Amino acid sequence: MKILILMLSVLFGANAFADVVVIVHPSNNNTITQADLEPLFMVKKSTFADGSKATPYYLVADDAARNLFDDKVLGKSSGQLKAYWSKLVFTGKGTPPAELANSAEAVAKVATDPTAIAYVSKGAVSSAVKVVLSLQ
Amino acid sequence: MKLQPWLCALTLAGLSGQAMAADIKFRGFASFVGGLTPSSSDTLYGYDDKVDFRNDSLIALQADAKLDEKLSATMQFMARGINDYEPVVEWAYITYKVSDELQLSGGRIRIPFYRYSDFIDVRYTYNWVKVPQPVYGFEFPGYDGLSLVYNNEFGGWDSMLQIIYGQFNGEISEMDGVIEDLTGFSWTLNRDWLTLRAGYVFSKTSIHVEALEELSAGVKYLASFQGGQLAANLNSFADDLRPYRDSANFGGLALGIDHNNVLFDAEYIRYEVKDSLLAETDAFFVSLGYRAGKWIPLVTYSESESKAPDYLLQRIPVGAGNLLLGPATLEQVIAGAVQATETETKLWEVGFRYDFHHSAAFKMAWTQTDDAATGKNGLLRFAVDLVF
Repeated sequence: MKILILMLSVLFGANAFADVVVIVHPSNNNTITQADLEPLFMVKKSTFADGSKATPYYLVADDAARNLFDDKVLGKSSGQLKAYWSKLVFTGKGTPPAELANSAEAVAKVATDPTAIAYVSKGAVSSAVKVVLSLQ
Repeated sequence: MKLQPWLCALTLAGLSGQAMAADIKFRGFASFVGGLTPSSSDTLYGYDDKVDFRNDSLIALQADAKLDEKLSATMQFMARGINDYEPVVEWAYITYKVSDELQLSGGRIRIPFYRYSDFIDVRYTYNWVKVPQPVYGFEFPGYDGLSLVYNNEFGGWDSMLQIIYGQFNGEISEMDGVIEDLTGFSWTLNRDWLTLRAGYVFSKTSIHVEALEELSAGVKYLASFQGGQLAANLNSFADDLRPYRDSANFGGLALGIDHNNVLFDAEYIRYEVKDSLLAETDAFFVSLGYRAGKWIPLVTYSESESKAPDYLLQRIPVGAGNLLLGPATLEQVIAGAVQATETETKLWEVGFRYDFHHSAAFKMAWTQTDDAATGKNGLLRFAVDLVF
């Protein structure tokens, strides 16, 4: 039983991760690589390569796309990420990105904000946003 | 026509009011802690053998007002169970973000003595119920002044340097204290699984310790019966006994490893208040844990040692050692007082953390201390820590 659950979770996890994409506003012409994601989403950098302002958005902590992004790109569990930001927030040393309720809301936000960058589940993407990366 | 400016002003006020309201964020954290000792002969950190729920419980609310991308104001209210949850403002500052790397804050800010000083009350961020007390027993509220934080990256290392300057006027461990020219830095380096930290703070410190004030006054009283050089020497010696505008320093080194789910943390600190009957103190802790999914079992050892300021015995003015201060000679009184400052505490702790929610953790810990003065004491504590 345990092995079955493990196999299912691995399968599910792998599939779900392949379905997470990083999106920006259609007017954003920057090339974004996977190495750019960590500094942008940990707010170590607040500009894109061309020097324009970058506003990253998270999804809420129990979202599947969020959990996979946290794990694979930021290298932290959602709990560890929460602890990381708590250390900065309550000591005045940093502010975490805003959290959006789900992928559909993130797509809607990015469609109207030229500075935005977000990760969403692939199924939620519309023509109003530009996919810059598909996470493998 | 005449109404237009009014309308404009009202519209503007309405708009800016809305904008301001939209830019104030409330966040907070809370801990509910219960604990008891195994028998009536054990007392530790305010706990006895009757279960207590208020000693370590707290709730805090922080308001962050963002005026624009660069300017913000922050206020943190803290309500501690031990103070009947009476809210106290522990942090209040404005911050100007000069760039991605550099920010300057002014107001009431916590002194970054230790690796965990700044977020000592945000217990969700660490795995103990509370940080090891032999090391962290020395802690008091914030200073008033400036803090410069510089974040940058070089060769794969994330670096955070904080430089502080300010003053403090308030209570230090329930005694009145004044700290002037408080200056210090804290530097944290982080790379993958490794965190290194060094900090140093120095100041001119005055602490009103009743027993030392009385002793100092006693020596001055002796001086009043003497003449010439001996009276002057005794008066100067009397000032050496109490911590009044004396140079104080605090240094700390810390190491953190989070590798393959193995968690290792160690910290060493040392502090002294020169020319006073306060002991020089050395303390450290080491802690080893293992992250098994949502569970983290943890074991910690900590030790603190205060060395008697023996040099004060050498400073007793020549010819004054045999003067009677009450029933004993000055030399005997000083030797007794010097000896009394010597303390040694050892602590063992085993416990665990369980993350039952993405923003909340349940913790439990058994603490065993062995103190030169109070002997062996045990304590069981459990806690729910959360951030919101």
